[in-house]
Amino acid sequence: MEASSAAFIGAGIAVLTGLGAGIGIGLATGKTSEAIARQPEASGKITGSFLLGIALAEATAIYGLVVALMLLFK
Amino acid sequence: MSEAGEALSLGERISESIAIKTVFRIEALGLSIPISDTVITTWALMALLILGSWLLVRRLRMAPRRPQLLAEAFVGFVNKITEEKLGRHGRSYAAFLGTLFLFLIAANLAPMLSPVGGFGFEPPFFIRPLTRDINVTAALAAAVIATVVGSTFRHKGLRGWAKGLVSPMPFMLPFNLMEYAIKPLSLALRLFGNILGAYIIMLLVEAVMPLGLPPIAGLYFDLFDGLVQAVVFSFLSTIYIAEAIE
Amino acid sequence: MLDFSVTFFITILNLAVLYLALRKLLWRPLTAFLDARARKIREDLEGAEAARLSAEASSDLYRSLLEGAEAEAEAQGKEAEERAREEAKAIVEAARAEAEASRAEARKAAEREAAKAREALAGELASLAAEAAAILAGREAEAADERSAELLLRELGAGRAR
Repeated sequence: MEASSAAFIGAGIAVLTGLGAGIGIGLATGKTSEAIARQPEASGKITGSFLLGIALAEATAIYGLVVALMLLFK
Repeated sequence: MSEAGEALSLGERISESIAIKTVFRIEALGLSIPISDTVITTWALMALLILGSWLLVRRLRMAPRRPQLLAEAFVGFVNKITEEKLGRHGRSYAAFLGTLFLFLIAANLAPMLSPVGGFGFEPPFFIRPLTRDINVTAALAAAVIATVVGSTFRHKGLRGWAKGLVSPMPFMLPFNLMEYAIKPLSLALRLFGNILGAYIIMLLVEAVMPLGLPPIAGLYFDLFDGLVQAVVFSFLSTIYIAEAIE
Repeated sequence: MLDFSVTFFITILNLAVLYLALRKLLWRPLTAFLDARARKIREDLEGAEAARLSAEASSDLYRSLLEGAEAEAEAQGKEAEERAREEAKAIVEAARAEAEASRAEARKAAEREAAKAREALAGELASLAAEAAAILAGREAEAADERSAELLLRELGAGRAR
């Protein structure tokens, strides 16, 4: 196997980190909707912590993406 | 992208687009300092922001007109958020966080000003997102973490800082020290990965369908993602500083 | 792609310059301006509030004065009415007393007249009776029938008419 082919496969595997981020962001969004439905007056604070949460959850997917990009475009 | 770009494959074209080019070198003090295109874009944005704020603040009116209203809303918003998060120290950090936020908005939205960056033609000016350069985002994150460390010293002193490192228990020391590396790393990589990923996706969209689709996809990948990343970066910086000084 | 370059240091320098420039050119003047305007608005509001309070106080004063004047006027009016009513009553009393007095006098005078008239009548009757007795005595010799009685009466009437 050539090194570049292995790099492509590795990039594909690295991007699988998006799975976890997707689940995490989906959970966070669902809970946020529930929380806002329960207490609409606190939507500002809820949105703040939601943004923080998805930023942290998204980080894993971004790390995977960065690794994949490093493998693809050296 | 030059005419030679026509002959390149898609991967090579993307590689060329995301590469950082050295535009010229400054020869000074026996050093040869390379100036990349991202630095030039940064200078252009800085000039724009400084000139704009100078023109705006030169003549303030009691009954504001539209540009002044916009600036007032922005400054008031940042002052309010920082006071909310940082309490009575908020005012002394408002300028830093506001500068960060303003620069990130400008940096992330500037690429939208350049015409569709399709293949095969060269627009009169071509702004590539400057946060696709890891050095730019790392510099931003380093500035934030330097502010965090500095604010800890300023508000708690050396002993307070040392005490914070071994809290809640002494064996947490390595983890507390690691935070100083992880926080800027995650800040820098998040911004870099998001902007670069969105940029590559936009390049792919333009390669697949040069007409029609790119402006619509750009609304999400350039406008929305750029704004969200600017907000997230500034928000996380605010929270890190709030953690440090509380 | 993740190459480290001198761009890192240049960007930090750029950021520092941008921070200092924006703080001097945008942040400080605009924040000071916003604070000054907020203070001015607050002061204006406080001034308006004070003016409203003083206006309210003076309007209270005027209202109390007005109420006092009204009460006084009412009292005076009542007093005047009272006095007028008393006067009217007194006048009516006096009139009634006068009327009573004059009525009593009139009654007395009438009684007096009546008594006088009765006296006179009584005197006349007595003289009449005496006359009638004299006439009767004079004509006793003559026949005492109905005609003579009639005649007697006519003579009596004539004597009275005289």
